[in-house]
Amino acid sequence: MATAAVTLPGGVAMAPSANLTEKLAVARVQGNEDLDPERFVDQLRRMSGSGVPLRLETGRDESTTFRLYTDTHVALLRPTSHDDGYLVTHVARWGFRDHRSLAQGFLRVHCPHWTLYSHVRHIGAGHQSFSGLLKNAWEAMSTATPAGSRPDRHLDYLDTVERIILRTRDLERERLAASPMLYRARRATREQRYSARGVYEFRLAEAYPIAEGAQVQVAEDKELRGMVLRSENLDVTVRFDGVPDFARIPAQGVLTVLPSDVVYKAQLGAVTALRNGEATSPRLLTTLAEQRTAPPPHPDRSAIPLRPLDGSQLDAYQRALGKPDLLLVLGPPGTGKTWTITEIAVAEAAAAARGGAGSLHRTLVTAQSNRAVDNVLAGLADHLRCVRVGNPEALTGPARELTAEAQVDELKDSLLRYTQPIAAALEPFSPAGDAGDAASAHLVLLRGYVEDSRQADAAVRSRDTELDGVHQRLRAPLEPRIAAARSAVEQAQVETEKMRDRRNRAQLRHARTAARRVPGWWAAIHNRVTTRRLRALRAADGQVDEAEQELAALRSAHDELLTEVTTLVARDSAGGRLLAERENAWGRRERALSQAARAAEPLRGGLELAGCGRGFPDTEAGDVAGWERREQGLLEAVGLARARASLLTEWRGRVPTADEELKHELVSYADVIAATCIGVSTKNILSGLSFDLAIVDEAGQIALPDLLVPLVRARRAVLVGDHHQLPPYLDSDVAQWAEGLAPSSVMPALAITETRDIVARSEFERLFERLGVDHGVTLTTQRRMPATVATFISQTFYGGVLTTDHPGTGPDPLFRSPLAFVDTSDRPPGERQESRAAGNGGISNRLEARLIADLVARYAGQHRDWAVIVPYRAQVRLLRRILVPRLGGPGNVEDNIGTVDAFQGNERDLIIYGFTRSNRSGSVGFLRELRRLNVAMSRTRRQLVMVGDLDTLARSTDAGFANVIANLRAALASAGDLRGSREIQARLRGTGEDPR
Amino acid sequence: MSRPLSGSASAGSVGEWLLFPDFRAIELTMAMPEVRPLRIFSVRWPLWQVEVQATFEESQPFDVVDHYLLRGVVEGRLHTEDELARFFGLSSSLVARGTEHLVHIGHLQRDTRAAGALLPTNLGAVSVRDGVRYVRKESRQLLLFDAFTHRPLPRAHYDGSVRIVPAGERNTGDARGRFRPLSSARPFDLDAVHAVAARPDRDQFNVPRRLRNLHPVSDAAVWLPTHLILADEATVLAFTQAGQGRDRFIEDSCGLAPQVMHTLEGERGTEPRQIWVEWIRAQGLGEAMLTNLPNGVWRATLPAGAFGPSARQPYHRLGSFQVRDTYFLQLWCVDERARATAVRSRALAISRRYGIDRSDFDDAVAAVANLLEVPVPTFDELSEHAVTSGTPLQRQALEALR
Repeated sequence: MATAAVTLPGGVAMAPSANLTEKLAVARVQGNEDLDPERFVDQLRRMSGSGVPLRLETGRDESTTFRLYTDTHVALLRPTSHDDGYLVTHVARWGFRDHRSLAQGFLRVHCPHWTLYSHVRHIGAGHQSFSGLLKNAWEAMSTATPAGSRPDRHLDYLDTVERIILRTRDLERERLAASPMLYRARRATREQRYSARGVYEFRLAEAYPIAEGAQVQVAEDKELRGMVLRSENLDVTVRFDGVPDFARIPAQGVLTVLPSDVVYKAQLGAVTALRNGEATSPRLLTTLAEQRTAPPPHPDRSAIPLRPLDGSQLDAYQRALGKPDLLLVLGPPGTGKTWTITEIAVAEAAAAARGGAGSLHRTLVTAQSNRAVDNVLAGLADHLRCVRVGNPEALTGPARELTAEAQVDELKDSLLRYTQPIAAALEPFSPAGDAGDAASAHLVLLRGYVEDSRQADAAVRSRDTELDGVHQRLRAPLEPRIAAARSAVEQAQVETEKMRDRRNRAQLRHARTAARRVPGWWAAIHNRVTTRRLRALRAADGQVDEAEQELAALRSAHDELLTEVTTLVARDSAGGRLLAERENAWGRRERALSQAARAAEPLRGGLELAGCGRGFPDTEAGDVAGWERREQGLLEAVGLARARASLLTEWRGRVPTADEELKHELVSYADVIAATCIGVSTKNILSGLSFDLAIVDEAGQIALPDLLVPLVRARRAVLVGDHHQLPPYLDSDVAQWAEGLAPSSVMPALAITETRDIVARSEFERLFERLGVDHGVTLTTQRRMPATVATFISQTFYGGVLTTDHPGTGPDPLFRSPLAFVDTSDRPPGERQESRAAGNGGISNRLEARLIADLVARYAGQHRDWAVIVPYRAQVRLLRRILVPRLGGPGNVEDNIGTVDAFQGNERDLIIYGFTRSNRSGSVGFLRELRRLNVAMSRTRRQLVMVGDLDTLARSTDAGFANVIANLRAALASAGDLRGSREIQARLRGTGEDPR
Repeated sequence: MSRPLSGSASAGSVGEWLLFPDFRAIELTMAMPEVRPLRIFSVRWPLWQVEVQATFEESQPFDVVDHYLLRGVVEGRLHTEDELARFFGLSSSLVARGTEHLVHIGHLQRDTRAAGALLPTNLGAVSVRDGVRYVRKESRQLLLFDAFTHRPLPRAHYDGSVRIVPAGERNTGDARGRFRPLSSARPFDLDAVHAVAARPDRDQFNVPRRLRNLHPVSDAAVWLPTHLILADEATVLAFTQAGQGRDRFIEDSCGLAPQVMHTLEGERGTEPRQIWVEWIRAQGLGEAMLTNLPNGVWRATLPAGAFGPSARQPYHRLGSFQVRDTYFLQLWCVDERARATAVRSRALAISRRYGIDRSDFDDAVAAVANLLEVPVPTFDELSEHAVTSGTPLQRQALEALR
C-alpha cells in the first residue's frame, strides 16, 4: 500500500453542495442524522495527529473528485469554482469499494484546520483549496517506483570476476595434471625448525617451475604431503604436514603438485560475500563494479601525526583520517609509504581508543606477500598491539615474534613470572589441605581472644549490676543523711550563685563609674562615688569567698557520706566478693584484648603485603565492641584475600593450557592484524573477524581476485601502491585465455574487455586511473635516491612529479656521478653478445657477468651494502657461479644477486643493474616491461651502476624502451657518468688511470 | 493425512488462501442455536506486519583473559586496569583492550564518579556466577497487529498453516470478488510494539519472554484471509485459518472498527431469490424446489436420485451450502436415507482432516448429522460404509481414529 504524507500550508474550507443539503434534509425528516457533514468535519478535526486519508479520482469528464475518509464515513469533495475550498457532494458510510481503493494507496493529509460553511458562497476570502498541491502529491506518489534491486551491472561484474577465478583455477589444475615431477634423490636439510614437522630436499630430474607455497605429494602417498618452502634450480625443499618416517619417502620417485583450492576458495568466498551483500562495507560492490564511489569526506586537517610527515604524506594521512571508504596512495620509490602507513595505523588505533570499546576498531595490514606484510609490521609493533597471522616458517624473524603463538608463549612465561610475588603474598590465604590456610589459624585465635574479652566484659557488667544492688541496700540507712547533705549542697550552690551575681553587679557599677569622664569641678564628688563603689565591691568579694567556702565544706560532707557507703560495700561480705570478681574479670578482659591485638597484627601485615588492605584502620577504638568490628573487618579482608588467592591460583593453573583461547583473545584485542591477502580468509583464527580499516600495501602488485579477500572484510580501505613498479603476477595460460575470448551471448564484448583489464592490471591501477583524481594521493618527495638518479626516474616513470630530499653522496672511488653506465659497446660484438641456453632459452651475457663480478669483487666493498639486479634467471645463475668462488662462499651472493622480483621493496647503497641483452637486431625481449627497469634502478641509495650494450639498447625495436634509453643517454650526458667497459675493467684490475 | 501447505502455493487460487472453506463456516454457524446467519463475506482482513528488533542474552563460553578480568573485578574486587594488570601479570594494553571488550559487551561499566573505576554490571555478575559469557544479541522477528485496533495477534495466527497475504499479491481467479480487501487508514502506531512487549502474557502474542528491548524496524501492510458471517442483530462471526472454530480475535476487532460493520451492513446485492433461481438454472437442476425457511435460510430440495457418486451432485453436497454473492443456499433432499448416506460420506472426508482426533471427529460428524436432521451414525456403521464405498485412504484414516 503506497502512502505519502502531505502537509497543507493553510486550513481548508468546505460547504455542502445544494444536492447534498437537500438529501440531508430528507434524511433528517426520516430521522437519520448519521450523514451530518458537521459530524464528519468534527471527525476530520480529531484526526489531526495521524492525518486524513485522501484519494483523488478522475472521472470520465476529466474532473477530479477528492475522497476523504474517517473511521466511519467517506466524503466526496470537488474544488469550488473559485478554488477557494471544496463542495461536499456526498457523505456515506464505508463500502467495500472504499476499502479496495484505500488498499491501493492514499495521501495522508495534515491540515491545520477544517472549516465547514453552510453554503459555498459563505466561504471567506483568503481561503485556498490547495487542490494543485494535492494533485501533485498524488501524481508523485502514484509514479514512485519501489526501491530498486541490485543493478544488473553488479551481477555482471561478479560473474566476470568469478569466471576469471574459476578459469585460473582450472588452468592451473590442467597444467599440474599434465606434468608430474620426477626426482632423483631426497635428502635431509638443516632448515630452521619451529615445529617437528619433517623438512626434506628433493633433487629433480629436470627443471620445473614450481611456486613457493605449492602443496605437493610424494609418490601418491597421502601421508606424504607438504608445502614447497623453496625451489631453486633442481632442488625443491618441502616441509611436510606431519612428521613422515624418512624411510617411507622413496629414494627416487614422483613429486606431484596438488591443485590447491585454498586460494581459489578464499577468492570465491569473497565474491560470494559481495553477491550476498555480506561484505563489511555495503558500498564496496558499487565502488568496484562501477568504479565510482561517493565523494570523499573532508580530510581531517586538524590531525597531527606523531612523527613528522612531508606535505604529500601529511595530505595522505589527513585524508585517511577523514575516514573515506577508499583512499588510494600512490607511493613512488623512496617516498615513505611505510612511514605514512605506520602513522595512519597508529592514528587509527588512537582514535579507536578514544572512541571507546567496539568490536570493529581493528586495522588489517595486508599485502600479497609475507615479506611485504612483515615490512609494514616492523614499523608498527612498537606503537600498537599487533598480531601477525601466518605460517611461522614463512615469516621474518621479528614478525615471527608477533604471531599469536609466539605472543601466547611469551604471555604465559611473563605472567607466571610477574604473578609469582603476588601469589607468594597470597599464599597464607590459600586453602592448603584440610587444616585450612594460615590465616584461618590466626582468625581462630583472634576469634577466641575477642570471645574471651567479650565474656570477661560481660562478667564485669554482671558484677556491676549486682554491686549496684548491694550498694543500694547498704546506702538505704544513710539515705536521709545523704539527701540532707545533697539538699544543703544545692542550697549553698544557689546562695553562692546569688553572691557571685551581686559581686558582678558591684564590679560593673564600679567599673562604669571609674571609667566616666567628668569636668574638673565635679572631680571631687566623682572620686567619692568611685571610692564608695569600690568599697561595695570589696564587701561583695568577701561574701562570695565565704559562700564558696561553705559550699566546699558541704560538698565534702556529702562526699564523705558516699565514701562511707563505698566502704560499707567493700566491707560487706557479698559486696567484697563481687568487687574481687569484678576486678578479676576486668583483668581477663584487658589480657584478652591485648592478646587479640597480638593475634591480629601478623594477619594485618599479611593482608597488607597481599594488597588487601589492613583489615581495620589503626585509629579504631580498642574496646570490646571495637574489637568485634575489627574482627569483622579482618574477616572481610581475609575473605577478599582468599578469593584473590584462589582466583590467582586458578589463573596460573589455567593459562598454561589455554593456548587456543589466548590466541583468539590476542587477535580480538589487537589494534592491528597483519596477514597476507589470502591469509585473511584461510586462517581459522581470523574467521568471522571484520576490520574497521584495511591497509593494503604494495597494492600495485595485487590482482583483483586476491585484493577482494581482504576488502570484503573491511569497512574502509587504504590501498598503497605504485603501478609504475611490478604488476601482479600473470599466469601466461590465463593471459592467453583472456586474449582468446570472443564475444558471445554469455559474454558480451564489455565483459571481455573488463576480463582482460582485470587479468592484466592491478585493481589499484584500475581504481587510480578512474578515481585517482578525487580519491588518490601521490607521495612526491623521495628520500632514497640521489638527485641525479631520482630526476631520471621521475621524468621517465612519473611524469616529473617527484622531488628529492637527499643529503647527496660523497666522492666515489670509481664513478663521477651516482648515475653511471658502463657501456660494453666498446667491445667487438662477438665478445659482448648475449647467449641463449638450449631448450627454453634462458638469456645470459658472459662479458657483462665478468664485468659485474669485477665490480662486486673490487668495488662493491666501498659501499655499506649492494645488490646486483639482472633481468634473466640464467644471468643470475651465471653471476652466482662466477662470484661464489671469488667471494669465498655463497653467503654474500645469495641475498644480493637476483632478478627484480626479489628486490621490490628493498634498497641498497649500491645497485648494479646488468641489461644482459646484446644483439645485432636490437631485440630487448621483456626488458621492454619498463616497470621492471624502474624497480631495479630505484633501489639505489647512493650509487647506480648500469652495465649494458648501449648500442643494442638504443636500437631497440620497442619504441617505449628506445625512448627510455634516449632519455638515459641525455641524463648520462648532462649529469651522469658514461664509461667504456674496457676502461672500467682496467681501473678495477688496477691497470688503468684514475680519469677523475 | 497431509499438512496443509502454507504460504508458497504457486497457483495462487483463492482456495489456497484460506483452507477453511466458506461452507464449513456456515455449517458451524448453523450449529449455533442462538445465531441466525444472514450473509457471508470473504475478506482480506488488514494487518500490520512489523519487523521488530529485540535483544536476547546468548550464553557463550568465556575465553580466558576476559573471564579472569571479569572475575578479578567481581570476585577479587580489583577496580582499576592497573590493579588488574598487576594482579594477573598482563600488559596494561592487553588489560585495557580486555576491559574495553567487557565494557562493550555490557559486563563492566565505568564509575564516572570514581575516575572510571570498573564495576561489574548485573550481566557481568550473572555471567561470573554462571561461568558463561552472556552476550546481548540482536533478534529479529515479524509481529502481526490488527490494522484497525493495533492489537497484537495471538499466537494461533502465527501457525504455519495460516496464510498471511502480502500487500500487492492479488488473488487470482477472483472473478466474483471473493476475498475483498478491507482497509484501515490508520498509520501504524509504533507504541503498539512497546505495548505488547510490556505485557506479562506477551508469549501469548508470539513474543518470547527471553527477548528484551523490542523496537520496530519496519512495517508492511498484509492481509489475513477471513470469512465474516453477518448474523441478525448486527452480530459478526469470523472464521480464519487460525483455528477450527470462530476467530474471536477478529470478531472483537470487528466490533471496534465501525467502518467494517458499516461496510457489511451497507453492502447491497442482487435479490437472493433471483441469485438462486439463476444458479439452479445454471446447474441444470430444474427439478429443484426453492424455499426460504422461517430462519431465513434458502434451501433447494432435490429428489434422492440427484445425489450419489454417479449423479449430478456428490453426496457430500447434500445438506451443505453453496455460496453466491454473499448469500448461501442449502441443498436438501427429503429422502432421509439419502441424507444418512450423505452424513456417512461426509464423515469419511472429515476423518482425513489434518490433525483431527477422535473426539473432534465425533463432534464434527454429530454436527453434520444434526445439520442433515438424521441420527448420528455409530463408528461401526461408518467403518462399514468405508468398506463398501470409501477409498483406501479414507478406510485407513478412519481406522486410525478407532
